[in-house]
Amino acid sequence: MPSKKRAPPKRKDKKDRIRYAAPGADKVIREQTPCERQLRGMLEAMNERLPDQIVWKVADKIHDMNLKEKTIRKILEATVQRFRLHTIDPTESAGIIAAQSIGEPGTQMTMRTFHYAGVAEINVTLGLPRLIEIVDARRVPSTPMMEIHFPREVAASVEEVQRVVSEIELTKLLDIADIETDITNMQIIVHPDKQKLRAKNITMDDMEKALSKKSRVKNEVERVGEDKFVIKSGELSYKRLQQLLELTKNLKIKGIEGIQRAILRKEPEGYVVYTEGSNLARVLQIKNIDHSRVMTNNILEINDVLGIEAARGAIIREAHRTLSEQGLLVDIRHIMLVADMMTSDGDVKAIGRHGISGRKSSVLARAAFEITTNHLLRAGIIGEEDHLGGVAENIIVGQPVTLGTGAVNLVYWPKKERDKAK
Amino acid sequence: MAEKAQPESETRFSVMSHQLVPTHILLDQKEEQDVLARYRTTKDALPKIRRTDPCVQSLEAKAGEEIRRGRIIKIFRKSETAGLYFTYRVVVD
Repeated sequence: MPSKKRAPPKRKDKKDRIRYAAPGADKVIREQTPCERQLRGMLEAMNERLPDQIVWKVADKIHDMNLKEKTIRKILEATVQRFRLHTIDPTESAGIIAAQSIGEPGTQMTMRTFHYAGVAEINVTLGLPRLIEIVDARRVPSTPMMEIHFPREVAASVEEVQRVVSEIELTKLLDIADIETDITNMQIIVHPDKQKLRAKNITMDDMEKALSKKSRVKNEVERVGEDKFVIKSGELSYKRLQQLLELTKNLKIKGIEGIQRAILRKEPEGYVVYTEGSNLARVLQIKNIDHSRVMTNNILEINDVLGIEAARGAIIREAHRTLSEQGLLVDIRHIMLVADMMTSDGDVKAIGRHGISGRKSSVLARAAFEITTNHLLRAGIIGEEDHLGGVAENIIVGQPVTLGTGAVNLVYWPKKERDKAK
Repeated sequence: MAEKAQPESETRFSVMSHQLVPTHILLDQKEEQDVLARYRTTKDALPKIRRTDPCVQSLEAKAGEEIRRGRIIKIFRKSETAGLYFTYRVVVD
């Protein structure tokens, strides 16, 4: 380490950056600046550790100040001291603090927050209903939504983006054609709307393929002339014809199941598609989109397609966004704790009776929460044990809880005894 | 409703490259022992990850071997508060 620190180059200077990747990882996670490296080296010499984020922040502040090493050491010492002050104490009840820190601001949210988000007329649940949805780990959110970005070369061209939109949006036969029933001949006549076809980028051939491919419309599909399809019922039954009509109306011509609407929006970095409805697995198979940035607000779907770690990230992102949209400043650490709890079992569990609280090991804790009699009865029948490890159990039996000073046991071991034991 | 992505058709897109997915690394026997010793813990105290998790499947494909229950996966998370840090998950069925 040099005794006197040279002013490190500006952060923007790429050449002097050091690749800083996880060992064995494919992707470089972040690049390290020389100043950061120096700080890390000094910390190691001091036998201290700081989270990366703090090292970055310190480096950001001092990298162009041309400080002496002695001064930097002082800064680091002070930083370490402050950091220690802010770490949570052992046996502190982090969970209760998190619950209260989210719960209290939560009371300030209006129950009826269900309004239009600024995003291109798509209706998104916000506020308390959304927060409840997240912690309940619902399989499908009430307003599923996706956000699809494009690689730079595609994002600039409207046609290309429009093509993707038409590929995503679910188009039913009814959306692009007039359908009429011909009762005398027991058949259905489909008149496609040329204009709509062009807008959706569908040709008559595509339609014919879609119509005849669908196994559920087993009946004969015939193309009559240039702009008409005739579907014969085959059976002489009005009920059959009616059923066939319903089936035909809702026939998927193009698009992805579950996505009702896709809206194109121009943003500073190019076009972005927002969709009503979500189907992550299928959207990820589409060409010409930026797969790494496809987002959905359906957390369970993220868990299925991208894994538990991605789901954890999504819970944090969604919950934090929901809270800050309402102007509530909840420290992200509390939300992280909740997300960690929800995902620690390998799949997304809800907070509440069916999730975390319902699976506590202590009978008394579970009985204290909800459906008291059921839990106690069951415990009696199968002979459950309670080791009184948690907070609720100990309050019930009137003992100090195992938190803070209550978590520590003091044993007096007289010197004489100790010597004897040796 | 959510249909699982077919592993065969996923050749075009790798789960690991998604923005939301942190880097997963499979640990070997020695590294596992080191981790457990450093945190003075046992495998059952670690958070879990399913064997069917897309990321585990992806690691399996990369390693060319079956990842059995009990293996530890190191995860390189990006955090808003701590910057970059490691966490571990143990594979369960």
